[in-house]
Amino acid sequence: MKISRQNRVLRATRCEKIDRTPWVPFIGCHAGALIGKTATEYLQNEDFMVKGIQTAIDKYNPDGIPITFDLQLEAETFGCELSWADDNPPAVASHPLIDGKNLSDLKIPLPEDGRIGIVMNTCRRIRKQNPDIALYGLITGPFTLALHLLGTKIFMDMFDAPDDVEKILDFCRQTGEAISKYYIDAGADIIAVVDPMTSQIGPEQFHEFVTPHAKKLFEYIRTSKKLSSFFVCGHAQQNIEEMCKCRPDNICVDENIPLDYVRDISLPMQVSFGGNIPLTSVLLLGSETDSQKSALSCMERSGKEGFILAPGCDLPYATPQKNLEAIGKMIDDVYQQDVVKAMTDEANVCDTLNMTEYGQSDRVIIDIITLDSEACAPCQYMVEAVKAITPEFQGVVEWREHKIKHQQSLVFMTSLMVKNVPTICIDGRITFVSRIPKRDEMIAAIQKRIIEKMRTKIQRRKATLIILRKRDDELFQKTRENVDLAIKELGSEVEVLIKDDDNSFYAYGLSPLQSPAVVMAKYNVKSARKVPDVNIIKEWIKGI
Amino acid sequence: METIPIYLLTGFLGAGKTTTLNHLLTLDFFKKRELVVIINEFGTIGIDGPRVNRSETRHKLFEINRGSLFCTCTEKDFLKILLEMKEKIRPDAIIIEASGIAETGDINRLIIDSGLSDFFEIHCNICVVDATNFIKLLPMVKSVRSQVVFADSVVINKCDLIDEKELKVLKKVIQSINPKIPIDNTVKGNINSMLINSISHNIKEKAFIDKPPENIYSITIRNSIEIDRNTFANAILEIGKNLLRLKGNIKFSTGTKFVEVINGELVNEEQISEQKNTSFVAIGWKINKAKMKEIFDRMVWCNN
Repeated sequence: MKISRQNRVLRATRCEKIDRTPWVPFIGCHAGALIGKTATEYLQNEDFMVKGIQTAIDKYNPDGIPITFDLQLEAETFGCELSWADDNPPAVASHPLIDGKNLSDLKIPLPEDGRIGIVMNTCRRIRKQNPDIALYGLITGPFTLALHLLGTKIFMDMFDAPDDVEKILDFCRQTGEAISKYYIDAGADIIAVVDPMTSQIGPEQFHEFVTPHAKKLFEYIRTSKKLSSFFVCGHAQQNIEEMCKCRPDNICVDENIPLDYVRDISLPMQVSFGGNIPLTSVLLLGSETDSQKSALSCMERSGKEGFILAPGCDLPYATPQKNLEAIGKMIDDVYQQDVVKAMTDEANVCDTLNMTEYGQSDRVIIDIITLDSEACAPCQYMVEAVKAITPEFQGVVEWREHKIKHQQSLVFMTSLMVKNVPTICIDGRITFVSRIPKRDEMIAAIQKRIIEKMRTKIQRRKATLIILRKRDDELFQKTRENVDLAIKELGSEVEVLIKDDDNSFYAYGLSPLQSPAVVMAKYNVKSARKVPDVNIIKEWIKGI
Repeated sequence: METIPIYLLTGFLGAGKTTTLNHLLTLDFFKKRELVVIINEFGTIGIDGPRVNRSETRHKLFEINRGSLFCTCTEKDFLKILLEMKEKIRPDAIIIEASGIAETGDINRLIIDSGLSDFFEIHCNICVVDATNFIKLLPMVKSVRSQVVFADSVVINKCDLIDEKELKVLKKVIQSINPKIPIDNTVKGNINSMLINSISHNIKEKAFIDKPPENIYSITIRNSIEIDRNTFANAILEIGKNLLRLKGNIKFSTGTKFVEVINGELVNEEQISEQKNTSFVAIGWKINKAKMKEIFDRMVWCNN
């Protein structure tokens, strides 16, 4: 059952069956980084936003994407001053309702107020360019918007003036409905109500102050025949059930809340859920492998139905692209997911083998690193390809499969610095990565290695034979004849040097009285076509 | 290599953290040191920074003006500062004035997860508590409780603004959240200099602060029915000292009044000109929530 990307997100949001987990990277100002713009430049320019989001869509293979992740959009229209930053979304720096304004002074924002027009035009253009992708319109949740208006005084007022708090929240709810409508008109599929500040309050306060307004807001979205999501971040575990009772179609959480905890509450209430790849420790500071593992772990904990894979919150501006690309690549590729699954935590693979002398035997050794050739098709074809040609080398070539499901194979793989499977290594060198070479190509690679080995052998046979003699030593002539005959009979490439000065004797710890003397010097090629490190050279010298 | 000690100052907004910080900066203990001060502000951008006294020490000041320090959104900003300190500044000590809504339990996790535990350690976590507002915020805001749970010491600030009886109740409430925590009283952030070195950090596993403490909670009563004044007085009497706070309007048969109760005592009762419906919030302590609700329900319905 192959379905469109947009449909995949919509169906998952409605807890319906789908072919695979949808992937929705929450791209906000990070899209600015993708096109070389600061967050300040990016979030205030429609063309930059369109270009940034399109770049993210092209790079990250998402099923859905938000138009922006900017919880200051509405607040700005009410006169909240914004403090802009190059690598962060802006922050609200003033609160109109504690700076002298009354609630009655504030008006529900119009479609062109502040930066709303830029965002909605961006939504229209992205919709047109990407009819097959689910677009999220993010609005500031009533509680967080109320906090922007009143500052943290809201927490005191919940006790001192709860009726006033109610009125502010109701106004924020109406604002949310207006912005939702603008997004829906501009082509958004899902309205996400982002209310991170609710993590600060308990379920009773949530029920008292947030639920009535959030419920109405989600009802409004439902009446508009669109789907909704409720985003929260931080330690909001206590409110998950209350959030679900507000009847959104989906809820999204960050890494502070375990996904299975969310799943067990939300799914029985027919609310799908999403999240929660860690933003800082994994996506910002981790590697591609860390990101894939974390994404996979989210998917495994959540199950296939009613789950949307996403970062926990707005992606940091400087998130490495390769990490998000790695997830985008894996999400469509079951085989890649199996590989990631098999590569259990690398931290456990602390033992590595010393491979410096590996591949020096007379035979050519082919190591095939696989997931398991009996269970994985690409691995099977690779093993069969190698198996088919080895008899032609009549015992000179030997092959081995290393299934990384086993710990020792994983250690071997790590020791050879192999990152992908299946991979073919010839005498310990990574030769074919994730592709099955053609027969001729494989034969050529093996032949090349055989020739290399022969050359090394020849080089090892090369030696110098030094005859030390006193000028008038009668025994020298006979010695010289015997040496020449031996070299001839063996067909060896031995160079013969004759030295007759006293110092040469002393240099080899001999006396001229010991003439004639024979000294053999055998050569050992230690490196070729590269500059050896000083420490390595020292080791060679010590070996002498 | 010696780890750099972090002195963590927490407390809800308005508790007096910046005043306390300024006092700390006057102490010889910090004056003599190469110091870094990190301030995370939420909702008060640019206010706390300039308020920090810069003349007393040669400290370097960093501000994080986004979200709650240690919330996921600001982790990277905090880590950026720590990395800069590790690589370039190498101060003798760090004081962090955490945002009023910070979940301070996260800082240990962050330092360990980012591999910085060889370079930094929490020396102590001091929570400044606002004597006047702590009780009413406690059932409302999760971080007010978690800051006390994770603290190594509590300093009750603004003690001059409450009486002895209130202070006694407040201490008992704090001890009900963190039973063994040392508590100091102060005014204007005048923290006892001995305190800094007399306490050590007690690492707590990330506690799951899922709801307000079970024995402290708030309930809201809203109704349009007229209430008999004597019935109200009886309800207050019946709950007694278990009613830590009550504040709001009550629609009496004689007109609407604004009332306020602290620790079971009616401290304010004013007639208001407008006729309004009953709407008040009550904070109960060590009384079954259902029972308190039942008492108030009875108050509303008994004459009707």
